[in-house]
Amino acid sequence: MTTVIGGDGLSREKALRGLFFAGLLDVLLTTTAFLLANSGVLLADFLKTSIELIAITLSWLAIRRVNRGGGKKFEYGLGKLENISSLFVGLVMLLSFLIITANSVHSIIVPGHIQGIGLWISIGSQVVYLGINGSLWIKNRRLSKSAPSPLMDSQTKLFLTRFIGNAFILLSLGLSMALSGFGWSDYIDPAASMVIALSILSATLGIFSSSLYDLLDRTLEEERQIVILAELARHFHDYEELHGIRSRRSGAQVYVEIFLEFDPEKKMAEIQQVIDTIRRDIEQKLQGSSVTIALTTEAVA
Amino acid sequence: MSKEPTIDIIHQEEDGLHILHLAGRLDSVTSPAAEQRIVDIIEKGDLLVVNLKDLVFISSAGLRLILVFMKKTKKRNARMIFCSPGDHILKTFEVSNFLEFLEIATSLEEALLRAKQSKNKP
Repeated sequence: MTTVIGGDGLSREKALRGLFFAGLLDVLLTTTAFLLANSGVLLADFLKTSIELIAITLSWLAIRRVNRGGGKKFEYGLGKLENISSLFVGLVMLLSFLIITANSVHSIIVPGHIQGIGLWISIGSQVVYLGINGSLWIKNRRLSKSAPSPLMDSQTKLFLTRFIGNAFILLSLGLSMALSGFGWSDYIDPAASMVIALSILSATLGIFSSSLYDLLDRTLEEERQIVILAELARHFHDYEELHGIRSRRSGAQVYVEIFLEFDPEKKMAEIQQVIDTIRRDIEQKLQGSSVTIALTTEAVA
Repeated sequence: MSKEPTIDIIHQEEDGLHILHLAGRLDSVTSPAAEQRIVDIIEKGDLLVVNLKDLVFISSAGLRLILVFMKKTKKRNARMIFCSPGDHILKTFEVSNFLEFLEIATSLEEALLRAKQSKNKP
């Protein structure tokens, strides 16, 4: 999402559109399976796939806004909207955790065999989605590495969770059905749904911590500050004085302002060349950075 | 309770040669006070030796300060020699390209010798 417009932004939009339709189909299948069986695992699966669809939809809508028309209104990107979207997804995940936990506790107190055609629908779809989610996880991980952002990061994690989840649900349903002759097998379903609930809780905590942290404008990490200084040191002889450096991070974007003084005898064309070189070098080394170099003869706080 | 980081600056002047001993941490907390003090000294002298023997930590804020000092020194056609940096400080200078323009002596004696030789030059 952020401010990536052009080829990169469009490829992300296309990828998200594909994910949206895949997610929609998954939600339809899990809803049908959940409604046609009395399984806590299938309830957890339905909630989990719904969360993923919400995350994808928010991301897709936001990137569409950036790519088509939001340009003049959101020249500094939609970093905060992305963080807020992640927090909303986190809240839905937290709610899902509570619903699954309550259902599992109820199933432990009042145990019963899982049954219904929904189980077979789910087993069939789990096999198919095991393959699909595995490939989508790899694809998203690649996209997240080339254009990092909190939401793409959360989606990569979601698809890995889904992949493991598919295998886990398949195993739990298979065991519940295969061992239905044993009384204790009634507890496989609530125990498995609790495991899914805990995995959702764990992902929720990760999203809350990273999104809340990114939501606050803050100064750059130490290692990135040193990258800026290393570039200024490399061009030490090209400017007269360093009057200040300001840097901040907003979501995935990094903004750097450098205040330099130049020899007044130097031609503007030479100064421009130095500024362009320093700016380009820092932007290349700091991913997602936007560098502004201002001319001044006074110290800047 | 954590102790507030500090920097101690001892300034000596011998026959026009300014010697600064820095001890402690040069970071975002200590840099503002150190900047004012050292800039005042740079503006007085043409020859400075900065002893880093007891400087235990330097952050990006400290590096920025050294860059500012070097720029001011160069502008005044003065000379600043750093000496006795610890391994950690030297490594920080290396990764941040500061060794390209810093003059570093391995000991205070060597720095003083260089400074005196420079002073005796016609």
